Amino acid sequence: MRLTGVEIRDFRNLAEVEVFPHRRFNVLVGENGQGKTSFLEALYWLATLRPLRVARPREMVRHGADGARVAGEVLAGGLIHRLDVRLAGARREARREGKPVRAGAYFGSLAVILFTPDDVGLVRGGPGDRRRFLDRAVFNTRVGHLDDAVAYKRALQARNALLRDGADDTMLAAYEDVLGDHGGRMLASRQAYAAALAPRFAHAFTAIMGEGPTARVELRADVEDPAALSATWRAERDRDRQRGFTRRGPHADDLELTLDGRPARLEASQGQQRAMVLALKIAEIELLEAEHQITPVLLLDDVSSELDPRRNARLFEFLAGFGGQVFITTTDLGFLAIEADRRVFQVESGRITALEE
Amino acid sequence: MAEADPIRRLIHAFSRLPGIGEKSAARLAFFVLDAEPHVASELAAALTEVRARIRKCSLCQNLTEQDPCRFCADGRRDAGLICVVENVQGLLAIERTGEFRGRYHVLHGRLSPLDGVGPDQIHIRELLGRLAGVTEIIVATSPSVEGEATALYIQRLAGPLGVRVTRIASGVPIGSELEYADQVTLSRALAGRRDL
Repeated sequence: MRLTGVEIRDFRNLAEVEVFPHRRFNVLVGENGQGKTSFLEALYWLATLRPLRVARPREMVRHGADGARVAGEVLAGGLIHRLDVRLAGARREARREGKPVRAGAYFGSLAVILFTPDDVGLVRGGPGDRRRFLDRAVFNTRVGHLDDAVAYKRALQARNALLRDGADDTMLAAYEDVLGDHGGRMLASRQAYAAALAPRFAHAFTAIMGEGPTARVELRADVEDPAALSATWRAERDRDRQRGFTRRGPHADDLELTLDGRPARLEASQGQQRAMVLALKIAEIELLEAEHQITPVLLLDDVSSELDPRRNARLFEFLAGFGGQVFITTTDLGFLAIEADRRVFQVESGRITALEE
Repeated sequence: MAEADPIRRLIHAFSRLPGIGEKSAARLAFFVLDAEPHVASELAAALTEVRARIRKCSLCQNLTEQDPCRFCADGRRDAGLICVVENVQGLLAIERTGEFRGRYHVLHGRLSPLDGVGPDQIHIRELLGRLAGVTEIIVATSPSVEGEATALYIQRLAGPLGVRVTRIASGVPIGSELEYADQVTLSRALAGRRDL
């Protein structure tokens, strides 16, 4: 899938933007603070309905404006779909083909994968960052995963409240059943996804780093058998009552990254960490294409500045082989090894103009 | 502090209704003031009457003028079958199908520990108190986390008493094309498939 047109109104510092992207490479060049990242954020919001970088959706609206709007035309399977998302006050409305739709019907219309300098937190940060990466990746392949994750979280909060309120066994058991239902599906999806991701990740890492330590990715499920979740919570009930929260379950899973069997969080050098992040994303993209026949749109935010020349070269080698659409921001065209199949956009003070080449 | 004037009191009263904000409440209040006098007196009478004459049925907790309510009093309805709903709107929805000939039980809520709603805040004790002679409970709570938990809680209490507890299916709306169903509903429907 790819974007054939993008229209943005009052989003961050972008007052009015209309862009007709190239089917392959779209390079946004400009100084920092001009609106390059805002443009990628707008596309990310259009695809996922999730704000990026801001705590409250309201912060996405341009200063002094009433609301924000992002619209896009997506070419997928030979058809053009019109997507449109707007924020007015606290109300967000997503439309498909001009008609308001629920999020469940909207998702899947546009798949994006984002690369940002913050991604290095995937290796260095806590398990929560990695679970979020994993769940978003799974969600791109199975829309119901989001519904399960949201319901699981809600039921978990309810069980924790019950534990603190001294609720009886029957009440807790009812919530454990609900948790087991959603958590079981969530865990099984994570396991299947991580297993499919692992060989592609190892291969991509070696391709980036050449000879050297072996990198692996593996789901460390706190409870490994989805069918055993309910029994685990039942067995932990008394201890959980003392703790005042639910200790075991998929919310304690980690997507473990290792280098020669040792935790990458402690062992990996800066360069290795960046290579791991790159390998994770490449593996995610390959998996989407190979097993789900979805070619996502890639959003790369100022990534070249973070990579050394060799890994940068490897990234562009991958992008050259990737057949889909790419949006990439940079402060200097010289950082990018993209010469053909491209459109260059100048970004200055919230205005985006295509340059003639 | 001076007592609030009657207009402000009316606006305030309207603004407590669900879905009514300050502005809508003011619009309603000024409508009542501008309209023919009988509009206001009929509204006032209807409000007083509904509180004075409507109560909960002592058996099923449905809102009713007569106790027991017309469903519980109807001897042709199967007393061995109880459909549990969250609210009266749910009861009316099931009743409109014309398919259900059993009795009802209205919970007036659903379990929600995060909002401080436990079994004692919804009429679960009353449900358990009327299980003599009942062979099946159909739980028709909503397919949310709270609705599911409520259903499972009832199952855990009533199941051991020898009552069959069933749950209404969730899936694709009849009369709509499969392709228009959202993916979450469709995946639920797939998971809940049955043999033909």
